[in-house]
Amino acid sequence: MLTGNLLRVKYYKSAVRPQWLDARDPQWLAAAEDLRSLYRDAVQKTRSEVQSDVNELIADSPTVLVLQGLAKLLDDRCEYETVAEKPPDEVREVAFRASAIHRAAMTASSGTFSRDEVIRAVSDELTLTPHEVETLLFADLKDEQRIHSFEDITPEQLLDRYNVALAQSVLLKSVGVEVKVWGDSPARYRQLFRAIRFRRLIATIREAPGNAFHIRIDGPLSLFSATQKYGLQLALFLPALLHCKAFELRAELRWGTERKEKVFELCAADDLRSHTADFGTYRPKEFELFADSFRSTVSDWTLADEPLPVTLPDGVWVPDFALTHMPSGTIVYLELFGYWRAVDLAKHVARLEQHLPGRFLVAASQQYRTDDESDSVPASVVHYRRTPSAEQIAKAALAQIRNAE
Amino acid sequence: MILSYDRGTIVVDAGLDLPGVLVDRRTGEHRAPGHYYRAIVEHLLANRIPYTDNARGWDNAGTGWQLKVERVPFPHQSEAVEAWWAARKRGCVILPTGTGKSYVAILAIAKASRPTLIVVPTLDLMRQWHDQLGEYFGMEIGLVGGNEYNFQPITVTTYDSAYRHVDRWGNKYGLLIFDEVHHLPGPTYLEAAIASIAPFRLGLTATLERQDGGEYVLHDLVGPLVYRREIQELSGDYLAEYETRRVYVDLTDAERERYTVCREHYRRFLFESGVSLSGSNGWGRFVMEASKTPQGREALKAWREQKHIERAGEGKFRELDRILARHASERTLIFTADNATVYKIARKHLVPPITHQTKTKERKQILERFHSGEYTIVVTSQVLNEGVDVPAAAVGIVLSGTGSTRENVQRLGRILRKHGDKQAILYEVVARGTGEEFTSDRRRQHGAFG
Repeated sequence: MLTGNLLRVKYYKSAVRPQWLDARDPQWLAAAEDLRSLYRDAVQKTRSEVQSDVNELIADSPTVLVLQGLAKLLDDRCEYETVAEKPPDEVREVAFRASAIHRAAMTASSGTFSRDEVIRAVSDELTLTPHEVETLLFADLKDEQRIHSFEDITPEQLLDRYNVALAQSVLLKSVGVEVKVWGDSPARYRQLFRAIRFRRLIATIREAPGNAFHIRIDGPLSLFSATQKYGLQLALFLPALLHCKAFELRAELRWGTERKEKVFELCAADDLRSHTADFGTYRPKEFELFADSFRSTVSDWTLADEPLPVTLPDGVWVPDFALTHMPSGTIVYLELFGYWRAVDLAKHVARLEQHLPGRFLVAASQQYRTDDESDSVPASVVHYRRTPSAEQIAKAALAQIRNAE
Repeated sequence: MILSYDRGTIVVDAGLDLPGVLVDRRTGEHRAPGHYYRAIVEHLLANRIPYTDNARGWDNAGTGWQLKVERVPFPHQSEAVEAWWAARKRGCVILPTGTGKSYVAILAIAKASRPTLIVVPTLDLMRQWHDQLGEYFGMEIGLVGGNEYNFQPITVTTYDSAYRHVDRWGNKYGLLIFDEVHHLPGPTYLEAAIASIAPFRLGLTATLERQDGGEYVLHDLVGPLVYRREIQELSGDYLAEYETRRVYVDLTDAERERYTVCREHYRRFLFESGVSLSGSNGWGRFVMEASKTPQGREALKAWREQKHIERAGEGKFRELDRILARHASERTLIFTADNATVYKIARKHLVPPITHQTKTKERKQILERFHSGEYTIVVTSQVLNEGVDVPAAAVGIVLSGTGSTRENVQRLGRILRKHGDKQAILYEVVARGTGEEFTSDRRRQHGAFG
């Protein structure tokens, strides 16, 4: 993310508008390439050397703020380390002690403190040259640390990353966001809702016509006052939202030291590219295997892939399949649980039990279990090994309907 | 009625008229900020409403902690604890630096006998409190901050970490102690005090005054001012005798010339862009205007150069040499406004520096050797402003600093702890005919500088 002094925004009444970079603009691409190659060649240089190289490269540019921002993002990709043939703190210890002894002796004999004499004594004791002593003395200061490695990035990616960082830095100042998403796959929605929960945020989700959702996101304390406490979590949540095909975001901000009320709006058309890997719509192979086997072996039921998310009073649940019992027309939703712990599964099932009794099944694989507590299995949970058995699921689904009646 | 804790808030299962409770339509619950816990419980008790408390994450019984070190408290220490106790275990205590604020905290922890979180401003102070508490309570003390994340029944953390992790520790401690509590007001750090459910709270500081009126917020979130003593009242008996001396130095001719040029340069820019440094957020506006144009950036550079001249002119280093020679046999602390000067002095005089870059182990070693007399000089910028113990220090030299009264009082406080029959002296070296004269006048506006 960018620090406050590197933010580039304009104001239109109460709106805060980040100054996006056109990530396909040859001029920006060239500037990004210049800085990137500077960093690629900077391995083994000290932090202050790199900083002065950067300053020299960008000093008189009219767009110095952009370039400083790009440099900051590149610097974040560097690993720095202290390079010294002898630990500097050991050299210092010897030097400070020798200097204190010398100073006391001089005070006693009314002589004058001689720095050269101390340095000579230190270099004798450590078998170093006086020059080496001087160099080592503070070689571990931040400015003296050297770049050990740099994680490379293409100029396009750097410009994309810049735009996302700009948006994230604005979100740091937010007290809550409203998000609208539409026309996406259930797997994508699930990824989105999980990202909200993962960031320990509170979402109020309303379903809207046309496979759309309105989501208000903030945190527990937001109920009492507009707090920026969740700004960081909201900023970290943004990359997950950017994976959605169609979205609109509206963030309520408290801006500047006076914390003025401002608004930040972002939508899919702004074309920000998420820098986080997208695992969201990945479907494990056993899902297909299960669906095929269910369709070919179970007769009383039909199976629909990726049904729409189910709205519950306290949020939304995204099942993987909808099973329709043909004779009765009743639908039982099925979720294949990913990696799980017994406590989480129990909590999840209890919630569904409360809001959707008899209408759901959760299948949990023994191989994805991450703890080994023993527990009792409720009727709404089916355990399986590699791929859930179609017959077993159909039987459990029927039992669910019967139990509810 | 069931009370539970949810990430910095108290959730109740029924919508009674409880203090601080609002309906949360997002989750279909009733919710109050964590700090209302005490008021809610007192309301339920007063109205004889039965309840189950799933919010409180500690046992509602004495911890049985015994102090391992016997020490007779000074009168002002026991009076402070009694006043806090009488105020129903809430409130702020103001005592000058060096008069044993942390022992007041230790007595309060032992008396309240509840799991306690101590919040401090810096990592250095965090370590110092950690060692001291370990000594007095003879058990493992938790640390959260820096690279540490270990919660124990008594834990020390920084304001920053307290704020960041409050969701997790908010219901684990019955007593919250804020060291240097004047740091607490301000929109972010305050959230820790809002989100915690600790019913007992103690704030400690040497100077409560803030420029933004934040002390009023403290009243609600920590408690009223329950006890106060000033430096002048305790000097001699509990603090070392001291004097403060201002020494003026002249800029060299070359410095004077650059100083004047730079000053005119940036002031012309301020005038032309209509920014007043003394206006509201003047500095922020200057930096913003300056970032827009090459001329602006030049003006900012000029501002930095003139500041550097008044803070680190040659005359100051000559004066430093003189003072060091005069007090060659005494323990001396040198204070500067910036780290670059700290390292310049450390390199030139080969004396140990302490800055935020100094690692814990080295810092500890330096302070131990300073205490034993093996080292007689330590140079630092803002790190030792607050709380860190250097009782042997008798001479302080303020080579440069901000105009903050608090910083100046804290620096003075560093050399005031009783140690033998030492006579403390605080020197302030000021560049004559520069803006620093005003800075110096501002920071001396406190009774301690008579």
